[in-house]
Amino acid sequence: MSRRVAPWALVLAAAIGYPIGVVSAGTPHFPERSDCVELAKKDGEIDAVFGHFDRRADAEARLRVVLGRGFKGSEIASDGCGRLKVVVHGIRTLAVGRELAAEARSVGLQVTLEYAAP
Amino acid sequence: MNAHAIAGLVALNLLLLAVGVSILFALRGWASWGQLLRLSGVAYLLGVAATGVVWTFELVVGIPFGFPAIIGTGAILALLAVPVGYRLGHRLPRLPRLRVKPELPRLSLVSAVFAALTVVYLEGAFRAARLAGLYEFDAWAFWVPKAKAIYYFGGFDQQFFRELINQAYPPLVPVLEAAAFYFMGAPDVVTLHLQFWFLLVGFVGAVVGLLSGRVSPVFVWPPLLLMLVAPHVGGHFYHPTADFLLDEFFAVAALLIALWLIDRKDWQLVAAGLLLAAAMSTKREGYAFAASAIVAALVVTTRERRSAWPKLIAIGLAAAATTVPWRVLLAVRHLGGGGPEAGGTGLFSNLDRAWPSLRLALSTVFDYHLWLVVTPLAVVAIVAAFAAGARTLPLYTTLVYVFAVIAFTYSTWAFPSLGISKKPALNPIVRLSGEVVLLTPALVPLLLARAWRRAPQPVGDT
Repeated sequence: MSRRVAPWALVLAAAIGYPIGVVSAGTPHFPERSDCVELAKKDGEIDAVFGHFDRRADAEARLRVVLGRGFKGSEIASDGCGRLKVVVHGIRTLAVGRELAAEARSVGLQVTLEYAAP
Repeated sequence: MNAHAIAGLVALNLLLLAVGVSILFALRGWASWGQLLRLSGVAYLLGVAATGVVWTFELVVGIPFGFPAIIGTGAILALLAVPVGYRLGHRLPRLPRLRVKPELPRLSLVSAVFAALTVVYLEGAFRAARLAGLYEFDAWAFWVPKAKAIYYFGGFDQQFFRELINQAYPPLVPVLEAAAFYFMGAPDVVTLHLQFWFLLVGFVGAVVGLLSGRVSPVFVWPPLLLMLVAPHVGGHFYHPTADFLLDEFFAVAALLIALWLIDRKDWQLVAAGLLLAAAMSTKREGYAFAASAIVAALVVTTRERRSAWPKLIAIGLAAAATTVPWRVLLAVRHLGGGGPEAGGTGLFSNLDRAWPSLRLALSTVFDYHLWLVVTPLAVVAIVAAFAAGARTLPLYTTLVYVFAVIAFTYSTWAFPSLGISKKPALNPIVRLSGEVVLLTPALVPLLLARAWRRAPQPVGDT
């Protein structure tokens, strides 16, 4: 390689090598709605969530079911990402949350324990 | 955010480059295609400046903003510039013959290493800009809303602009952003950040293009890279606000004036004037910055005042005159001119703020956590150039820096509502101080070259 070409080759190698290196580690991750859900792994401000919904009518239908099966204090709240969730707020510990989730499962409801939005 | 929007921005910036190339042809022409490539960064900034100023004028007089105005303005500017270039005797060089194997321009190993690092930095910066959200307060509070208003209403909607804060801020940036929205096909406020990446690339290209061949690459590249990696530059250059564009216009204008002090080529002064006009149409501080460069040049040319002063004063006045239509519009609409809260004699009733304001200005420009050692490097270069016996360049640079610090001091002193603080929510001093930082890679290489006891060399027919 001639002396005139070598410096240009260095610039070209850097210009091509960097993006290849970056892209090989994966394309950029754009936030999705699922990123709004942070599952609880230890004690804290925890919500018991009976589902996320795009339409208010669907959320209200689920709320009626949840209230009908004895989970008083359930309500509809925004999940901060443009959707609605049916939720029981104010669970302080993971143990209490797990008890509530087991109780829900026993009456046929699926619950996720999520950290409350800040 | 998609490929279509990015392609739109590429098209817009190619248009701006084409306009700038035609203006460069009018101003100086080029002896070879390699020379045009070297000066393409300057051409691009001239294109942004010229179209931005004319778009602003068109909006002020009520011409609806849209594709016809955007493209038509570029075409008219190019069609006016090319005959002027021919009239002034500029001719295109021969096109390289296809049969002849093209020869690569010489690139030293030092240039190659730093160019490679700069390219990698800019690629990383592209990624950062492409993924940036509209979080900067000033951006979402009024810069981008103004751009959206121009995009949706085709002009400076009277009611909307009255309701916004900072109505009197010059409109070049919102106009440029509105043009970007048209080319992206939608007011895509995420991809919009990439427009400011293009401007940074243009600035880097302009500085390198104006200095390469004239100054050793050892003096050109390290200050440039140091500026680029400064924390506040890397984290803020892509915000859709006017601060960095103002600094980019001004730094290249100040460099062109410095080169004019060496070469006395009129095109350098005219190009500087065009960039200063754009700076004044970008932010109100542009007036103070432009005045600082012109006054500094007047001081260092005192001995040749008969030949130099009329040109410098004419360029300064012509640049300021381009902002008159906007000021008239503000007056007609009874919008505040945005003057200082305590200017003039008000300064005396706030004398207790003088020293804290100066201390804040100095501590900001020397703040390592914001700008690394960019400003200390400038001080060292000035001292070294003086020690080597140079006078004109170091004095010019010193004056520009001193005037900048005075302006920063005034900006805090004359606005008692601003806190004595570097917090962006309390005082814009950090954003202001970018002027000094972007100026450094433009002027310091000339000083270092002089300190090395080698006068900066003219390049080609510059």
